Amino acid sequence: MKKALSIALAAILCASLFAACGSGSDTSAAPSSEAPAADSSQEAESTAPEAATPDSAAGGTKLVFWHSMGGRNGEAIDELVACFNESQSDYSIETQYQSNYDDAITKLRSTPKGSGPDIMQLYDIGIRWMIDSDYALKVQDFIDRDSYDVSDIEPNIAAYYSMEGVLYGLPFNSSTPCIVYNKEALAAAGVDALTELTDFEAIKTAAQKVVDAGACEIGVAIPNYGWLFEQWVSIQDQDLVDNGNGRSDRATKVMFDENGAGEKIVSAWQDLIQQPYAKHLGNTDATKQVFGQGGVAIIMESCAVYTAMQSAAEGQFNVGLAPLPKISASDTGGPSVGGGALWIMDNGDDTRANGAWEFIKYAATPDEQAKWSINTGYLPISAAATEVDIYKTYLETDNPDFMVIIEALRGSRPDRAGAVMGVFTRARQIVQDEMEIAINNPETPAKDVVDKMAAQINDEIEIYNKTSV
Amino acid sequence: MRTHNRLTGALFYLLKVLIALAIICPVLYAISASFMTNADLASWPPRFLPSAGTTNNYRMALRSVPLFRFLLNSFIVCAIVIAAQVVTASCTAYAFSFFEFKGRKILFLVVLMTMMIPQDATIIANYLTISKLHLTDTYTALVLPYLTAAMGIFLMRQYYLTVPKELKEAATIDGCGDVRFLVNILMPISTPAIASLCIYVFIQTYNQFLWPLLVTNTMDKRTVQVGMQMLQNSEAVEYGIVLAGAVMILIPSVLVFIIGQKYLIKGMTAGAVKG
Repeated sequence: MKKALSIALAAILCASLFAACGSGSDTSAAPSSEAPAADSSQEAESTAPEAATPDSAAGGTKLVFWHSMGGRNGEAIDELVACFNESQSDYSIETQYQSNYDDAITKLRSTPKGSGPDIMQLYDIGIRWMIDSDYALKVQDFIDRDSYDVSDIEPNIAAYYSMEGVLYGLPFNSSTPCIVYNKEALAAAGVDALTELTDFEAIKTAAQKVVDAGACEIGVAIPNYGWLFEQWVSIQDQDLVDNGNGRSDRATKVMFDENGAGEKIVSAWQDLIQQPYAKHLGNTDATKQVFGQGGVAIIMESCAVYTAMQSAAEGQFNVGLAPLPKISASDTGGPSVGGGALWIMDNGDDTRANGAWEFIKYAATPDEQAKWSINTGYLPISAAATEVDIYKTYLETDNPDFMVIIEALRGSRPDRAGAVMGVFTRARQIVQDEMEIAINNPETPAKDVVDKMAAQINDEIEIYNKTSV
Repeated sequence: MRTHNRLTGALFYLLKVLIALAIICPVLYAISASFMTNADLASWPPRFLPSAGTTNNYRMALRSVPLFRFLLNSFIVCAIVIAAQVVTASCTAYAFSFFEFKGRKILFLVVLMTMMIPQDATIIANYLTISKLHLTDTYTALVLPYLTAAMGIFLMRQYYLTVPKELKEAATIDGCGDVRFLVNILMPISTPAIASLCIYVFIQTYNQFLWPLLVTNTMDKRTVQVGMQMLQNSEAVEYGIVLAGAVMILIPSVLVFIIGQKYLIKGMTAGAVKG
């Protein structure tokens, strides 16, 4: 028995070895696994080569594009790149998925300058790190050189990636926070989503009506998501961090504790959660889950979840979108964008940098942005995309509320572009952790909650500023 | 007395079944959920069985990533790493257990010390070395840092220590050299240890994520765990598809474990008790 098993095991091992060699030889691109000499020739093609070799036969200069779009969005990015490669013959782009944004940053950070990608997709809050690391070229330099017209790019989206008038990365995939609601439930309660969900007081009235009408068990739920906290600071027309929200210079401390914005958010949130028609359901996934099965009428989320929510709710109800509510009716700010941008990486090679520039311009055209938005649920960054025929049809038939969100974003102000800091990921986590405690203990004074958040984030900022060049 | 024994036996058995159920439950749910539609997954109270089984998730998963290519790559990498570790661990362990030389103990401690260094501490440095050697995106890069490991050496040494010295002496008297003794006598009788080393290395290598992600860039060289990440969407995770992918890549691990678990346990305890 013992012997038989061990022989079987050995046989499996041998078989897998042979299988490996066998298939290695019939695909010319994958030479035998132990032959580094043969591999290196392939490596030169597939990853960033030392020097760009214009090769007309293989579709021009090869460029490498690192992105973090998995699943359906990854397919959309491949489609976009395939269209670009077909549209011209000077450059040929290869997409390389590098896991989520955080993993991609880790990899980029440890890749020697010059052997990384030519184009990089990175999330909004990575901007400070990208500038500090000096890995990328400024998009603004290319815009100035070519006198490229940026007027078509939604100014409120471009504003996030600009520092004092200089555009660093070209926005690509943008999303904005909004209210996601159950259309049938709100209709049954007689609530008009566009006029009666404008601030926290209005939300309370609406949620009460929904529960009174028996349309939904829970009227409103806010997922514990640090991004929403940032948005509400911006909506109050206040800064999250100092030094002009981290735009004139590196942030040295948070501001939301001193300017009172944080306290207002925490107390409004705590107040809401204590109402009988509101319930804390946890993080975004948990909240979306309950929403998807019709358990809650109003939630707050990224507009990019629309397609997924619509498919979860299929056959039960319709999903609507409305702008994120203000904390109090008198707030004068607006939301800023989330999502990501495309960066031209500095590999010391003009041909490749120009190729990257050509691609990101292509990705920003109205036609491509229209397709991209339909495929992914991100907002188009091109203003003219809403005039493209396929997009008009999409807005009319598939997703009529999307225009509401686009208009809400257009109505925001470029000077409320959102904060920039090097430790955003960590800061968001701290906000969520403290918020979770505050929501579960609604009697905790809001001031204490905000002070605890501020103290921890300030520590992180201090470490970042001391350790990052 | 006897009935008492039987009762406790039955109780312990029941307890074991309950613990086993608790442990396997997530896996069973994952399999069930991989056949659910989005609406099933979002329903409340949660469903444990799909309302109407759909293979859509599997089709979507296979469409969005070349999963079989990733599986093949994982097998290639695992096979090379296993073969290399068996050779290096056997030879090193042989020296540590059958040769008397100065500094043997210290050298062995040094080898063991490498086990105490967390992988996270060396992974970036290794990546820098690999990119300086221009080896990124090759199988060589995937396997190079894992061709030998202290764990394997330790495991084999502990097993060799249980082999009586007389066996070696008898072989030497009969004119058998070291290499022949290792290959023809020692390795055959250490099949359990070698088998458990193979399984251990397989599971470890198969589950690697960060290293393959760092050193590979193209679909041609990526392994299954990186492929799993590709199924996830940054804004809205579609659990059905992710779970379908997870179930598919789980099968080889489970097969290897079922075939070899007897040896795995035997090998581990042999080393642990008598070392």
